[in-house]
Amino acid sequence: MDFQRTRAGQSAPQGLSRRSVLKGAAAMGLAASGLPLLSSVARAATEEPSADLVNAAKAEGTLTFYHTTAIDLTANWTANFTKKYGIPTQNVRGPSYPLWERWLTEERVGQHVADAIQITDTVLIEAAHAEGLIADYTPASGAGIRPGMKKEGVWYTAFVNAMGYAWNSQRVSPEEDKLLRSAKWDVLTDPRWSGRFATSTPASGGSSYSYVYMFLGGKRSMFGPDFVTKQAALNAQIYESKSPMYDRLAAGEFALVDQASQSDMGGLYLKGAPIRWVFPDPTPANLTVQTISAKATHPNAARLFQEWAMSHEGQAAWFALAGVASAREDTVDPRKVAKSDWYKEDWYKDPADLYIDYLSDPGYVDPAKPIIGEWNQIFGRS
Amino acid sequence: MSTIVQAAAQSGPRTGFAPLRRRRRGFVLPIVLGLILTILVLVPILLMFIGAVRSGTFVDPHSTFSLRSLQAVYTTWPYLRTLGITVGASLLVSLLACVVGIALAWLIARTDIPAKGLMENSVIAPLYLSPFVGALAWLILASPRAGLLNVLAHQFFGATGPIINVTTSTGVILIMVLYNVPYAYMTVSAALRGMDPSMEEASYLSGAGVVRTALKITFPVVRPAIVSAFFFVFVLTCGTFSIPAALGGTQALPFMAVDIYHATATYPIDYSRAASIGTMLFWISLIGVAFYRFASQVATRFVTVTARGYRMRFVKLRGLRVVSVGLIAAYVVLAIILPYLALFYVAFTSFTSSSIAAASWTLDNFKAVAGSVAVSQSIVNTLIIAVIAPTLCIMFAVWIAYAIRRLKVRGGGILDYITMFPIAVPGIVFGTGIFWTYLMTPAYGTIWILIIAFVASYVPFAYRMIDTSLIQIDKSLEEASALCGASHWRTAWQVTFRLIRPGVLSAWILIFIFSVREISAAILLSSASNKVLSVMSWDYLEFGNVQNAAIIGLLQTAILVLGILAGRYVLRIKLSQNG
Repeated sequence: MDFQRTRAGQSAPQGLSRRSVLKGAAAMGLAASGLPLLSSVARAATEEPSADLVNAAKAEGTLTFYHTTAIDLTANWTANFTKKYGIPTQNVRGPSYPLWERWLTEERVGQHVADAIQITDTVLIEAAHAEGLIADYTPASGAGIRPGMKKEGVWYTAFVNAMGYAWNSQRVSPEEDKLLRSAKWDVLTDPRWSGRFATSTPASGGSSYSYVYMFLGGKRSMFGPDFVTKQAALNAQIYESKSPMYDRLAAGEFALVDQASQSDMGGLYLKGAPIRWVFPDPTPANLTVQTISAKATHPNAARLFQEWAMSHEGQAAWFALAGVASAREDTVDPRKVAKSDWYKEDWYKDPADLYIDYLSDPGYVDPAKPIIGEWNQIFGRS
Repeated sequence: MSTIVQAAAQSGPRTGFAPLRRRRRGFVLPIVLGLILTILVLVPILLMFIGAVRSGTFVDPHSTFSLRSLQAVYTTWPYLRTLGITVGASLLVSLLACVVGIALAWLIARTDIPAKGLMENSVIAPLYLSPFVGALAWLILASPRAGLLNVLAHQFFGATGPIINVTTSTGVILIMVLYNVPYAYMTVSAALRGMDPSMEEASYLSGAGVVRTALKITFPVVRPAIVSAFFFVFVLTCGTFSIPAALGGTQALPFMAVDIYHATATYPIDYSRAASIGTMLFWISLIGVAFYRFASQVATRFVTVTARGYRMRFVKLRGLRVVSVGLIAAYVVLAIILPYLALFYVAFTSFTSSSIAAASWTLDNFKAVAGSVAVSQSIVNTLIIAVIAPTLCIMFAVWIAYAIRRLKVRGGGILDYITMFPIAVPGIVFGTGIFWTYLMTPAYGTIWILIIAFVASYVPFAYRMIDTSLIQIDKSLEEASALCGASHWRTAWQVTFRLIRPGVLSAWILIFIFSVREISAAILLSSASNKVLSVMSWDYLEFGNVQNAAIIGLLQTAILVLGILAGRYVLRIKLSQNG
């Protein structure tokens, strides 16, 4: 198993064929010629997992994948992996924190159930890495992941979710619709939303925490407790999980919600829900990251899966299912290129100023997550 | 539940059982039973108590002995407030469920209301709908601004505000009442049918009217059953997690079981706090169980079935017939018809639209569920568990009841108490205990951990039903068999077990229903290969996919109805008297 890891992970010379040499040469040549698209194609070619890894993974026969994303969406995504390599996956979905705690407990007692884990909190993964529970593996396809969206050998970003605010266009007046389209964070503190606004607790998962962290942590000088206090004064309905909140927004229970992620809003939009969303500057973004269990029962299947998930192919497969930003530069949502779906709407604009460089902030990496306590206090929650 | 035999005639020769009891009054049987109960029931509860005095989980290397959580839960205002609200709301739910359940039971058992079989089946039909799915349906129907009923009231009657709002404390309480009425009904109905109507006849002959007879004769006789039903519903409600969680969590109505879930689902994950709240809930439920045990034991003494035939005189409702039928119909509409309509509505729409006219209709949700490998696996798991868990549970309950009631084993009182313990432990707490008990065993992550959890959780229900059946069998029948030379096991097999068969099968059906619907413990114990339908519906709802959650709820109902129909027409089991 270690042998596999070394070969695939560090892209050590292996079975050099005339074809691979030519591919490498072509890639270098294209990169030098400044043709990024062709360059990325060439890079994708060099990122193919080794035959040894593929064979070893196939011999293991299956993969157990712990994740936090939608059940059917993820099942459809991993079905692409299964189709390509013939390795079925057992997917287990749960909210980030309980799922992670479950995995930690299992690992500590020697119940090695999960092979690959995908959650929204890098701090937890790094703590587990320090405890020796994370496999040290560098997928070749990880080279395509943007710098800052990976910790080499530990975790790799599967996708990036920007979060803005969203409203139900049938629950706001034309004047309010205009105000909301202005895409300013201050809109969220307007008293007109009293009783019509919903939010989610930062204790529910990594993405909600990342969102709230921008206001109370990283951009405290710009927003800070004053901003959150004004939001709390809106008598907001607080959800323990964001997704039911989105469903209620689509139904018209609320006019406005924050923490509106691109993938969820896009999904509702495609179903015909009267949903609109914008990304004010700066736009908090959350990374959904993948890691491999150090004592995975199917270590090669997990490594192969990560190779695939981080590859252009894996990322494009996710794009076909959910509208999110890729962690790879060479993977762009084809809908954006075609200006279809929400990209054709006059109210839609891509996030311009993503707030993502908080991953090393002392406040963010503090395992006590004091922001949650402060937020609870402001919202009057014990 | 359907066979009630003479309970009063307990005199007669005791020679047949005496030597048998002497032989069995050894230590082996009670020790074996005690060991099984210890592993099944006491260890998970004990781990809950130990977990409450640790700073982290059992496997956390930094975890130490700590009273921090216990101190916080037992002495600080937010937890005490939640305790007060949980107990108060549970008492209110029990009271209202019993009032409705008694009224329905009296109408169906004692009046000339038409179509009794249909009426009774309708009243117990909410048992076939998972309370969690029922709450989800009511959220779709009666959330304040997007609830279908509120939107329709606005569109057709110009209502400016919500006419009904289930996301308030009143709303949560009423939904809990709706789904607890069948328990109150079944308990009181059984007592009413077990009551000798000659007492009421005598009252009527003495000139008393319907109301006076009901208050002076009927009510006092069935009072123990009512008290038993009241505390049974109280204990169930105290540990309820799914309804308050689905209807808005702690914001609508702070509830201890929801707090326990939040302690294990939101950051910082705090198992110690969850266990501490669990211990508090345990004590409250234990008090409820003590009252329940006492009342149910008294209730069985009040069974006054006679061997002589009688013709029940039904109270003539006359002009109140329509009102009475209307009352039952109203309950059925609220508990069954409206929720199912809501579930079908969302199942066929692409997103939850509050406007039926503007809804986007689709079959895609059904296609998605039908094509989901996870759903297929969970259907198989649910079916396997729904057959094995009640079967094992009933076998064990028969064993315990027979050992305690007929063999009079040593320590029978203690065994009886321990068997009833799980009623006092809410599913979500018991699930945590089971998790820690079996974490390091091969059962972890398999359907067997769920089967163990369900057997342990539901053994009190099966035991109490079977015990009641045993009490109501005249021992002279078994003694006659023994006197005729039949061996002990032959007597047990051919006399006792045959006579309690209807009670055993009714208990099996009840545990089958519970096993298909159970969600609290299943959420905590679910893994890659043991997902069941209830957990799938929770997962879907948690991810905002109300459509698929509704379809799963409908699937659960289909399984329950098929199981009950099979039970009724193949095994001739009835949960009700008329149905």
